[in-house]
Amino acid sequence: MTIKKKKEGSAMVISVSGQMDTVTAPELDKIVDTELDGITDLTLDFDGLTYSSSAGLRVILKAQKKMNRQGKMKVIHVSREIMELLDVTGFVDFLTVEPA
Amino acid sequence: MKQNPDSYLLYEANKFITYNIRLKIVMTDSVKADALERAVQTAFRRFPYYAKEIKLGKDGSIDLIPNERPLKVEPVKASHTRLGTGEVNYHLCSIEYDGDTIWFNMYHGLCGGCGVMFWIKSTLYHYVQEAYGVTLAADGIKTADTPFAPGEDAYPDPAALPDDPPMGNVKKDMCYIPAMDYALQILRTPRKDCRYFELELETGDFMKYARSNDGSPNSILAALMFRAICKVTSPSVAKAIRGNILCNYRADVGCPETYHDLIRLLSVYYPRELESKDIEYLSTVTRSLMYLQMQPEFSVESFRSTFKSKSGTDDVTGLMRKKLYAISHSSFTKPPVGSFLISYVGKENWGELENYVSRIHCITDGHLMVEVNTLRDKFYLTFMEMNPKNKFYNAFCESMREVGIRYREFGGYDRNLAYSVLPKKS
Repeated sequence: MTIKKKKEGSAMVISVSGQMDTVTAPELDKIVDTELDGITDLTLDFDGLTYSSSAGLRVILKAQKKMNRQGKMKVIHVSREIMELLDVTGFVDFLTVEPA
Repeated sequence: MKQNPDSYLLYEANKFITYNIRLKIVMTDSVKADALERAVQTAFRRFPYYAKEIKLGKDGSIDLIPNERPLKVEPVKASHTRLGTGEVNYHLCSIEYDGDTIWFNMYHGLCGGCGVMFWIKSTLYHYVQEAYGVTLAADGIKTADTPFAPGEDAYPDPAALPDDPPMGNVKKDMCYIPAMDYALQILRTPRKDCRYFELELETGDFMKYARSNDGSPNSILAALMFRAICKVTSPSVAKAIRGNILCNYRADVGCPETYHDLIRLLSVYYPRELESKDIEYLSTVTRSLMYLQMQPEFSVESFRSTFKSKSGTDDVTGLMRKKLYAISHSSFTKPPVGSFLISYVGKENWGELENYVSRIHCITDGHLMVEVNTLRDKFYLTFMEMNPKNKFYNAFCESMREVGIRYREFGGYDRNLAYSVLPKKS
């Protein structure tokens, strides 16, 4: 999994590509824990993200909870497969999602 | 609440849904009755919150008061044990034995699964020492000499809990309920038990399979159960299937060490269309929903709802009206009702006791209910079913075989669950 970050003022875009699973999700988890202070506008760009396990969804849940307290978050360029997962689990009910 | 918080489930209990548990402990040798008797009485003194009898108030209220009589220890009976009666010294627990097996009967309202295991292990700890003349290490065991732990009998105060709402919702859409099996069970007279089946899985193999399929024991078993139900139902009958997975939420409400029964159900909704998906996908869906619903805020909501229901029972007068109120506000029957239930709250540390215990199975009420216990390097599953042809159990085993999960069977038996009897009005 590859992660790129771009920060402009209080806005941040985190681009995630590859596969997010039990091994790789902790890398995004660490960013959520330690690098979102002062961020009020977070975008998770999933262009190139081909797979997410439940560990990935757990991190997305954590990030959304955190951003609910300090600003807003959206998830963009979501593949059809991951969109289906977000839909069947009901995650779409509380995420702001833009399909690919 | 006006009464002991453990008492309220008794309003809902009856002969068909007993809210009792029956733990089957298969020892490595034949049970020595005298040693068991001494060990039981020694260990039970450590758990005064289990030593209760039922008191019926003039307003029909059910309360639990201390009971200092000895616990009943006897050979297994042909008839169902009646907890709360003179047969068992008015206790809501009793112990039976037969050959190499010790049976623990207990009213579930007295404890969560995490809490009861301390009593089981303490009893077995003292039994092994009595029976074999050995001294065991007491790590993780509340022996007769272990002081009360801070918070061991703590109960949450709903007013002191945070008010943050959870994120997301629990889907409450209708799902498949095997209603005919429930109906047939109620109609059977004289009352006959439905069956349970004993299975053993190698922990190493099963966890290896789980990890390679984005799974945990709960999520893999839930996925297998979903598959099993799909096998024996048509899409027109079972358009959607819901799995309920037990969650012990003591820590979420500030009582991580309490013995009290603080459990709620995580609800996993499977549309029938998922039938074509592999186990990994089903497990991903399951675990994701578990993560969503394991937010502590859902625990607080659940506890407040249960507390409100119990307090509401207090406000109703008359035993029958209280029972009707409790049943209509039950945590276990209110939506979303599930198609099946998986109960596994984590690996148990048996210490040196594992050298003296062969197997453990936890028998409870319910249809399509799977209880999971751990011992040494094994999972012990207890699969409970009401269908007289055992079609769900057979389908569950077939689902395991299809994905290469090896298992060992020890047969199917009548549950013989104890039921609780209320005293006559005082």
